[in-house]
Amino acid sequence: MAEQESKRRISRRDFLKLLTAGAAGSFLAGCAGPPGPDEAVPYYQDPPAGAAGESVWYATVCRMCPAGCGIRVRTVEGRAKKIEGNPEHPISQGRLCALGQAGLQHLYNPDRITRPFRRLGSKIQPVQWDEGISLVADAIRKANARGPGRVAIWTGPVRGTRRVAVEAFAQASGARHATFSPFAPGPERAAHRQFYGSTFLPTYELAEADFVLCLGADYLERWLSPVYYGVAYGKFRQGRENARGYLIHVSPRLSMTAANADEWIPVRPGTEGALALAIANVLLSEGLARRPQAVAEQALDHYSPEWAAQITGVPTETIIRIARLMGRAQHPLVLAGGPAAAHTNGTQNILAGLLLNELTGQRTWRLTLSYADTMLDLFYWRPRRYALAEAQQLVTDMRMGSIEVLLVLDSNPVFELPRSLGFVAAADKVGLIASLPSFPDETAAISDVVLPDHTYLERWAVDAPDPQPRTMTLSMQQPVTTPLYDTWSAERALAQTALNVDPSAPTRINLRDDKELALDVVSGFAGALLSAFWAEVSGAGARGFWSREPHAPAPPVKGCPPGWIEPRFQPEGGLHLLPYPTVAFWDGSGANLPWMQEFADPMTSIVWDSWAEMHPQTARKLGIRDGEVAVLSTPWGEMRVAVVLHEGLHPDVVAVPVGQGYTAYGRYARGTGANPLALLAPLADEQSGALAWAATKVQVKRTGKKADLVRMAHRPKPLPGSEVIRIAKGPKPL
Amino acid sequence: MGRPLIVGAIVFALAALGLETLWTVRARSASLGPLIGQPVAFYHSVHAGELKIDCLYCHPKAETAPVATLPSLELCMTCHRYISPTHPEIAKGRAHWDEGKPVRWRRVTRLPDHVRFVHHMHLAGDIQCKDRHGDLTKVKVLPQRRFCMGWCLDLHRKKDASTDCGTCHY
Repeated sequence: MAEQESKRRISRRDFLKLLTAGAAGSFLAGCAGPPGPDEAVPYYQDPPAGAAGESVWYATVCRMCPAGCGIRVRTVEGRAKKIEGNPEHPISQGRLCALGQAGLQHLYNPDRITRPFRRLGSKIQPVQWDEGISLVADAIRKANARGPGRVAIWTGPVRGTRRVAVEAFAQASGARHATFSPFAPGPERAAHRQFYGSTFLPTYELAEADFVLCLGADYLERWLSPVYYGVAYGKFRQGRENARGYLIHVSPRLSMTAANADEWIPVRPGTEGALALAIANVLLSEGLARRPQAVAEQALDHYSPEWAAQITGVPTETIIRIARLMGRAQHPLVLAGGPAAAHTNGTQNILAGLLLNELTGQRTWRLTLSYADTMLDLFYWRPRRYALAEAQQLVTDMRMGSIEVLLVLDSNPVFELPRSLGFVAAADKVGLIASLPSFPDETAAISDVVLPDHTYLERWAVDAPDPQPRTMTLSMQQPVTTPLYDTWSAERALAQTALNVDPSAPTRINLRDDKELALDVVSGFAGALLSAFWAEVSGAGARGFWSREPHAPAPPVKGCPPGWIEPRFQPEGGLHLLPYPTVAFWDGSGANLPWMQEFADPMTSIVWDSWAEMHPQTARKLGIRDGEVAVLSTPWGEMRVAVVLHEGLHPDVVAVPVGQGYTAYGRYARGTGANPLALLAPLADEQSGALAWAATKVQVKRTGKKADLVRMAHRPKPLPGSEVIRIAKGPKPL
Repeated sequence: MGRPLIVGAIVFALAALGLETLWTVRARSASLGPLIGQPVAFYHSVHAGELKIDCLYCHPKAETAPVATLPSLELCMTCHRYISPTHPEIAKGRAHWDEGKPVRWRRVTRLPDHVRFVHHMHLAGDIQCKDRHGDLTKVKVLPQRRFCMGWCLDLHRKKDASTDCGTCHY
């Protein structure tokens, strides 16, 4: 406890240091209030020196994906005009990805839900907020009267003050809180817990490495924190005068990250861990391991390169060569995650990667530990597992009729959950479904009450990014514009509902709206100097809110269970289906943004559609031509999709990007492609329980029909005699 | 009244009606948008037309800043404390002044967020207000307008101004 107190004191002092630096911002004073979207409100009296038409920048947080980049938004006369990375934020460092830039289309999207409504049969009836809240609260009260456990709230990966609000609501109204997210890094987290005893994801020091072995981690696309690792990648390659880092990517598919690597090693899906174990075996047997004590003697003797070659399909010589390159490097680093984690042996694959890091002896990364207790105190921040079993259990309870009220926040289970779970049929048995989205989606389409949430550019929050960057980071999220429509923050809607259910709720202290919750957290740090601190972190021109204290280095290894578990696949036979999150759409939530639909895929240059990548050899066997429509089917569903021949793919794999195939997610996401998540088998990683999204096999059938794909850089055949790119042998690494 | 006089009066009335209709139709077709109601009926035709008040008197920032700005209520009241204070529309403005609240006008122009239009650079380039906004000396109620990129590009080409994307999109 004393230790905890001391941590708290350090953190508070550290934050108070911030008060002395930087310019304090202030809100534009005005007696008229900010102008609405269709208004032009001049001054009542001219100011001494007018600043009309000048840009006003607000520092806030991007929430388009879970990375939590700090952003600055340029506003003019109350309207958000441009989003950029915040140069002072330790994650984004002034950069921002395309999806973050497209946040403006999230705010101004013409399909936004503009006010609360209820559904009466096939009709939609607008309601006032109080009425909408009462409808939900009455249903909860009645359900609770019939017994406990009859109310549930289903969320995506909520954290920070939003997590506080959801937990407070669940406690006050007796609701079960279930979470699910198909691409949450559950196996990565479980592996770190086993290996280092740490609850939190680490920061890999990619920028300082000179040799990187990627086991599936597509960090330039959507793995963990793409902007942070994008910046680090630049330094890894070009940030030092006399060293250019060498990158090997191991994955069944040539992703954009793999295409940027010096070598791409295609492996059989789910066997990345076997390759890592064999590399560890070579490091030990050739005396190249700097910390051989990290693993018990003879523990890896079974995992010879010959053994791994059989399993992975990677030649023995290649495995030995990679091990020697790694053993000779000064700062080698292994990044494991993404598709390597998306199998029934996902955690085991990541553990094998961690073991390699430990053997090579470079403690090149750090873990979030020094502030963990404080953050846990503040946010109940213990990361959740996002386990498939949690979702399955809730769906089962819904089907059995024991859930009477279901609230859905920051999630679209109808789209995200594999159809094999039967969410839609189970939802029929729920008395009242209330969802709190900003946009119409498939779940809102089956909801009885819809209570629209502000977008992230219209609400307050304190965000605790996970993984953390090098320094302890809490980010202040503030509105950059007044709400465009008659929406409430979900925090406010949940608090009002809980207070309506039980006015004397025990968690009353956390049943506040978004701004009050954020203020609570800030006051926890700033104490008596609240007003000065508040000016520092919020308002126009503010820099944000974070410490400069680095995290602790990695702790000693807690347990090191190397081993090999065969991945399981369902059903037997067929090709491996690899659905993957894309640069443009993340888990699909970016599909309603026209800029993102127009964003040409980095590998195929396709826009506004889905496709299935297939190796030319495989396609030849199946009699399928490039651009032909094929039917991909599993016992749980089928999809029709155009086949794109792609040599950068393991021949046993068919890869389909995630993010298209919506039916009710607004005009820009309608009628574009198909959703591979719907086809997935209900398989989970055995140790973390996370959805094994790459463990499904599909049957592929040709249709003979030509698809209407738009490829921005398509050249069907090489022009005779042309030699645009000459393939040459590169310089030897290191 | 003699018959010719009656016929003459009817012909005159019809001609006046026709002209008025024609004028309105022309105003509408030039505006690319509907005429919209404002909280106070302000007539550009009176101020800029009959009284020949310079545009920059009420929109002075157009010469020095990216935006032209709307005049503050204080500027309106500089004159209208004394000029036609009992006119019903001016009385509405006066009521705002007394309450200490600015007039909340409805927007008639709105550029997309990804475009920047810098007024003072255009004025410095000898572009007249009416080249862009139309001749407001004859317009009673300001119509809503939409600006398309091709229209801007035509003008840029005519004036030999830059047509780089980054000139307006940055």
